[in-house]
Amino acid sequence: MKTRTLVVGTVVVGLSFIGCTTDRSPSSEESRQFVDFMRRTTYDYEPLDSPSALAKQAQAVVTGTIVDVKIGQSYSPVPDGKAETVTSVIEVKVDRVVTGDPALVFEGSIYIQVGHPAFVGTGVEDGTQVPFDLAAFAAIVPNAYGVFFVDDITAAPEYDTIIDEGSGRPAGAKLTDTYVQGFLIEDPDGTLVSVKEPFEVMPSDWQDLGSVEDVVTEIEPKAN
Amino acid sequence: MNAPRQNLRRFVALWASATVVFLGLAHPVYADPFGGCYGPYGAEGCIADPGSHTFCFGAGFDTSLHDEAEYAMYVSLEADTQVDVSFDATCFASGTDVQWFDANLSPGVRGDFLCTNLGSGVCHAYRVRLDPAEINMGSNDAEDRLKTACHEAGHTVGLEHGAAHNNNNKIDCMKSGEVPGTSPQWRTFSGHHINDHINPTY
Repeated sequence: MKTRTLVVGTVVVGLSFIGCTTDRSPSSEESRQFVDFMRRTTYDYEPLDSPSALAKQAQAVVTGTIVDVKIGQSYSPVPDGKAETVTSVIEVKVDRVVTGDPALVFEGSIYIQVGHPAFVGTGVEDGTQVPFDLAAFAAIVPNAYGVFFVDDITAAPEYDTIIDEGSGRPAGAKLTDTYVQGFLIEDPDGTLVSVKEPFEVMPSDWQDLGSVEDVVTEIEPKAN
Repeated sequence: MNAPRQNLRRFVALWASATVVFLGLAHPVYADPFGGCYGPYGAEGCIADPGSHTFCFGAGFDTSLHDEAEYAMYVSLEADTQVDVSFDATCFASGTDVQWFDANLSPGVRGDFLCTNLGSGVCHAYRVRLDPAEINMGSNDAEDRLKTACHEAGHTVGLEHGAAHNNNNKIDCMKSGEVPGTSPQWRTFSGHHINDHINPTY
């Protein structure tokens, strides 16, 4: 009896640990590759307690579907220097402006910039560098539905020297970027995935969100 | 064995199990990840390559941030840990371990970090960037700059963001965001990070 009691106790302890650490991994291979890639960059940022808190900070919160990826403008940290950053521009067809400035939507879409190092190594120390493969990145961006917390960065380039200005978006469209906590997409099975930073390391209000609709529901009563 | 003693042992066993369950619920164990630069889904992981942890200032790196970068490398890292640090004036893109830049980063981002040359689980070059405009929002700007520089230097030796409830990641410069005060703890690494992660690795 004592052994059985201890076994039961151990199992309960094990289950309690599992219950406290939610697994929020992407369920599809397509999303997994994209998220894996996006999280290669890590950020020091001020984590906000909830989607509604982040919505107050962001210039706009929209929901929509990723429909396209194009090569964007590049940046150099010095005048006439070579590019340090190249970018991809993700087009999201917007179905709803949840809160914020609707002027960030241009002809039904927003354009989100994702930066990459212009050159990367090949795994060899002091080896040659190769240009970042923008086509390979575009191939792993899923056509996912999501909710996006964005700011207008059209006039706030990553570095002062812009190369191919305006590339990747239609003339007149604003260029936007997401907050670290504000790039959330749904897997094909509906699982909500945070692209840039795992939910697990965010404050607790983020960890129970199960869908884009959950996020919108959390924001709307507190918006404005 | 008589019945009262058997009941007593059963009671003790149940009490012990219940206590452990309670402690497990009250103080759940969260992972304290180390050595992965591809996030939690990357099996490869990456730690800095062996030998001196070299650093340089990338093209255009704001001279007003040089002191913070040097503090992070020489004080936060070299003085307090077993990591050997040296400056590499050549700034070789695929070989200098830590390359510092300043940039206008994503909204709300104070600094970012990326391995730009990964080979067989070892990173040969990291790009570290600081965004002074974001860092200098709020109060304690000087301490904030040192904290973010220390934070990004910590990533270059394998420290990661822990789970939100993991206090090990809230007691030193690996904390995300604004420094809570001017204490030196926010520009150094905790004993846990030094003794359990950095020193055993380098």
